[in-house]
Amino acid sequence: MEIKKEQNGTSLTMVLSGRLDTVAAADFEKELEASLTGVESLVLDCAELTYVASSGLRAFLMAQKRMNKQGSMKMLHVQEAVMEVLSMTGFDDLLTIEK
Amino acid sequence: MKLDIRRRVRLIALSGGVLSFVGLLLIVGVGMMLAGEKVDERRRILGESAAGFVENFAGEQTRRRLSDHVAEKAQLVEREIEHTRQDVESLAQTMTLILSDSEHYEVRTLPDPHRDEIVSGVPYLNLSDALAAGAGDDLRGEIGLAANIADTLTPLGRYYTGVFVGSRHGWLIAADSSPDGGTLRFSDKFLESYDPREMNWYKLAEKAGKTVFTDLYVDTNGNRCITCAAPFYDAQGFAGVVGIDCNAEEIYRQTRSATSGGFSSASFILNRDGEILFSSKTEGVLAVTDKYRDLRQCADKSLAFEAAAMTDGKSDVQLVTVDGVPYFLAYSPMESLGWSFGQLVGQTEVSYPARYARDSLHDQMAEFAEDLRDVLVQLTVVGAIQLLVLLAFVLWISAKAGDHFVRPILSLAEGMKEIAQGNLDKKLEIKTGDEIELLANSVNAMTVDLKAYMENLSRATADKERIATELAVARKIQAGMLPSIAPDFAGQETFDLDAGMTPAKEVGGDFYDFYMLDENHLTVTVADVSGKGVPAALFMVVAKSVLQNFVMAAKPTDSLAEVMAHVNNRLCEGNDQMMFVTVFFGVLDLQTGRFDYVNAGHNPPLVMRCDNEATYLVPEGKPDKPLGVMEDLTYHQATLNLAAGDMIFFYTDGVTEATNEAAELYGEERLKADLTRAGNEAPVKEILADIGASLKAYVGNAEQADDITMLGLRYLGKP
Repeated sequence: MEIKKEQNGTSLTMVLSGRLDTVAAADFEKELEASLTGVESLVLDCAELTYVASSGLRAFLMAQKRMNKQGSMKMLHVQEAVMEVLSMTGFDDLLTIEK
Repeated sequence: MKLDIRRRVRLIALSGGVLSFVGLLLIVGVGMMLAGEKVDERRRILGESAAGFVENFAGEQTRRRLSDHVAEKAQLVEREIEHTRQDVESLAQTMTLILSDSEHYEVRTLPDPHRDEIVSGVPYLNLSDALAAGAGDDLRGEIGLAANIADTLTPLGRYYTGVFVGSRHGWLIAADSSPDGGTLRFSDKFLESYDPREMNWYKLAEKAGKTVFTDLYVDTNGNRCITCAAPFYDAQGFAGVVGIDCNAEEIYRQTRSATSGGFSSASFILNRDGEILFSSKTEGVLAVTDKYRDLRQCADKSLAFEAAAMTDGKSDVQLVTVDGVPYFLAYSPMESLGWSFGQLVGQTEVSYPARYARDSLHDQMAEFAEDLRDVLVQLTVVGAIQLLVLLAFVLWISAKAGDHFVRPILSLAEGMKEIAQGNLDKKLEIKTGDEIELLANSVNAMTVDLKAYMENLSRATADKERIATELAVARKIQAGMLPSIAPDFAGQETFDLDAGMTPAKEVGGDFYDFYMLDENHLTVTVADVSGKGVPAALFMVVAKSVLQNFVMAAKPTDSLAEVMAHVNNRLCEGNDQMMFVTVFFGVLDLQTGRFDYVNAGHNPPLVMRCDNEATYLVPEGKPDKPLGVMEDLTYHQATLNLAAGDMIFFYTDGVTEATNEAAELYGEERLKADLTRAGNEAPVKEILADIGASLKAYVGNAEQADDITMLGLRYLGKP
């Protein structure tokens, strides 16, 4: 799991690549925790994200909830395998996913 | 065998000492050798120059001595000649006096060799026949007066071979001496026609008007002689010549009989014409010959050159070659005669003293060199002994120093050994003030740090162990919360149910549940809490309890969807951590085979009908969301009618998302295929084991990341 960040004012783009499993989800959560202060627009680029575990879903959910309060969040370029998980669990309704 | 530090230090010191020793020895040796060579060279140069000097000096001395010697010899002759000159001049004066002072002298008559016997040394008067015949009174008177000279002649006659007075009138008064001292004999020619005026000596003196010397000539007696002649005078002027014969052989003999100055070899006298008058040599170029021969013209250039110098009246000592043999020729002039006295000395005789001096000096120098060499050898030996003593001292010192250096290291090693054995309270007491003390201090600091670290570590380990223990207990509790088949459903004929969970290393959030709602209704739950660890486990407990409670407390009229919505709301309360759980909950009517269910975001189960074809139970429309995600969600109930023998296979994502070593997912397709292959005939327990084995085979040695939960339910039909 690799996370790249591009901060541009209050806009933050996080490029996620690899597998967002339980261990990676913990890191991702910490990263979010540390980065989201003052951010009004969060973009998660999931073009290279190949797998999401339930912990990862939870992290997405937490991010979405927080960004709902201080701005907006959207996910870009979600792969099919990940999308399957999102739709199976109904998370595709909870998260803003742009195709 | 490895060397310990003490030995190494000693070895290093020993090597150092030995190297220094060898180096010193080399330096001393080379120094001595160089000094020896230098001294030897100096000695040679000094010897050569000294020998050269001595040789020159000795040569010079010899030459000077030789030069003095010939000068002395020449003077000897000169003195002899001088005496003769004085005698001649005295005789001439007496004669002049007699002739000019006739009144004081009587007329005397001297013996006449024509008539009388003349004894050696007795003065006589000789008149040639012609003169005697024509002699007047004047002549007779003059002769009688002149006869008074006899008194002067007599003593001179004893000394010289001939003393004579020749008048311009032709008479001769003489005193001759014979070799035997007896009667003189005269030749007829002498008696008949001898005229002194014809004689060379007479002519020379008359012409010169002063005392002269004749050349060497052979006199009437056959003696080689020279004559010293001087004119005398009467009232009319020149009256005649007096002369004294000197036996030149005698003079020459005197030069030879006198001290030879220690020089051997030949001597000779040269006249002003380069002719050899006398010589001790009887052969070769220096021998006296009858014929006139000029030595200046001789074949040997060196000799000819020196002969010219001799005739010029010079004196010198020079190297010449005489008859092919090298000689030193010393010569000195006899000025009154215009002669030159020469002495030949063998070259070796002259150079011998010089060579002797040089050789002697050489020998002494060689002895000196020998002595010096001995001294050098002694010095070397003494130096070597001193160096050996020094080496021994160095070794002793280095051994001491080694111990001195090593002792702290050894005590350091001892201390560290003790520390290594676990005594962290050990303090190293090393006060050497050097790096070893620094090291010891570092070790002490390290020990303190180590002790603190170990205490921390043991505390942390204790904490971790406690947590691990607690987690293990939690896992056991969690496992205990899962229902077991055996006691509850033994002997069931309407359904075949089996379930199993293989927990991951960390405590996870999977759970399953089943219980009879009443006699005819069986509930089945398969759930997966997001995340892992204690939070997941706690949330699982909560979720399970809440779900069961709400299901149990629900009225018969409540739909499963309503119950699920309640449970969701309940789980959303205070859920800041956004924990959620996917749940598949279903109720099977054992009488009819009707299966009502709600799928809250869980993986769709597989349904196996009797055709042995596994199909996923995909919901129509949007699937419902997991519980705990958001409040007030609506859930949907669906119904599946099971025929006898139909089976439903439930699982969690731990199955489909299990990965092999290449990190590839097991996946839903593979699960479906495996289940289809396993078929729907075998007991549920065996089918689960079959799938479990397939999964295990697929995963291989990859680590299990998530709980793996499987539950199979086969409806067997109405009893």
